[in-house]
Amino acid sequence: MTNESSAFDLKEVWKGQISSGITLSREAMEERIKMHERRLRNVRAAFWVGQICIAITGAVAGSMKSYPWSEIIRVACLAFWVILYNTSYVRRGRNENSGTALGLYPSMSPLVDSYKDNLRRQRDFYRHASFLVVPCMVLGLFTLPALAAVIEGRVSGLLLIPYGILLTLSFSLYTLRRRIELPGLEREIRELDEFRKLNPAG
Amino acid sequence: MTKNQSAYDLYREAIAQFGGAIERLARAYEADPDKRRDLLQDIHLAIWRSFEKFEMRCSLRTWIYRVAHNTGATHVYQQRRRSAETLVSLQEMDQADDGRNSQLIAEKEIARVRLTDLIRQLRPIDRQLMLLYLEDMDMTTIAEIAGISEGNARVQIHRIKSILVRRFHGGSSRDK
Repeated sequence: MTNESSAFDLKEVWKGQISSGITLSREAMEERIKMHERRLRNVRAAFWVGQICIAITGAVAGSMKSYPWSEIIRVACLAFWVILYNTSYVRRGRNENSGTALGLYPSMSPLVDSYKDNLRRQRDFYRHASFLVVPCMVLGLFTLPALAAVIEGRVSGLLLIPYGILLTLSFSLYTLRRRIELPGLEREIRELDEFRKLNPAG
Repeated sequence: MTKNQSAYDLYREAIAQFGGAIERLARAYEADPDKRRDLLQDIHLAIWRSFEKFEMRCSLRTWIYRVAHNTGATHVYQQRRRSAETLVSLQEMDQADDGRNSQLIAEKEIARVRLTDLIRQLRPIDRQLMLLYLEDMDMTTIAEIAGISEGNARVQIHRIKSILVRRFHGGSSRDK
């Protein structure tokens, strides 16, 4: 069997697939957009509600009995923020020509460029320490009040243990992912660069 | 197609013409049926939203395929981050031999699954070129959608196709 006849078979096999003929109604699409937006809104709202709870409990409790509860909330918010930051990175890097994590604003660039854009953003996140400024600032925001309370002697130093665990975990996770993903990302970007060099825009 | 058409009208027109191809495309980007249904809906949504920016500077077909493939590639990128799925270069694919018996490919369904499996292993750019080829598009359109020159598209597709055909029939580079 020659390549050409086999290739013809491939086309036949490929195009012979049954389609369900799905068409989304206007309402279904609007509902889907709302669902995406609602999810993001809820995540943000939960984050800010947590922050307000922290502020209130911190102010009311001071060094009283309920202080540990404010710390529990604070640690929970920190853990939540770590997850939120990790999953929303692609979306925050959006610009006119690149897509988003949710696919709500599709890219119009050729795939080779838009895909490379995605990979490059992730690579830069791992490669440049400047991208860690924001997470470090937020981590500081969460941990400093607890640290201050410990230094002032208002609470036991044991309070810092959950923060320590959480920080170690997120740092280990970041380092591990960096070690696993960065070489692959760099290799793929290099390949796409070579592809672009050999296949300039027509 | 006129400028007075709403984005939704354009969307319906696009789906009437390319709905089947978009569904096949989604199969090439996601194996899991539930995630695929989600991806397909995201592609539909992306197409609809994209018409806010559609100024008819290119054909509807080119526009649709660019949006659909970019959404698919973003999906691949996200899934890869979650599952550490490995995509292979053409060279790696050519050298690999999964030991499947070529006689198994007698059945149509098995052949489709096998072909889709192979396509899913390709990197997004190779996958896009192969899918456009399988959808029977001419080289000019493929080149326009992929954003490369026609000659390069032809060379690239020929390369992917020969490897895919060899792998499809159960062999590796030994079968040359």
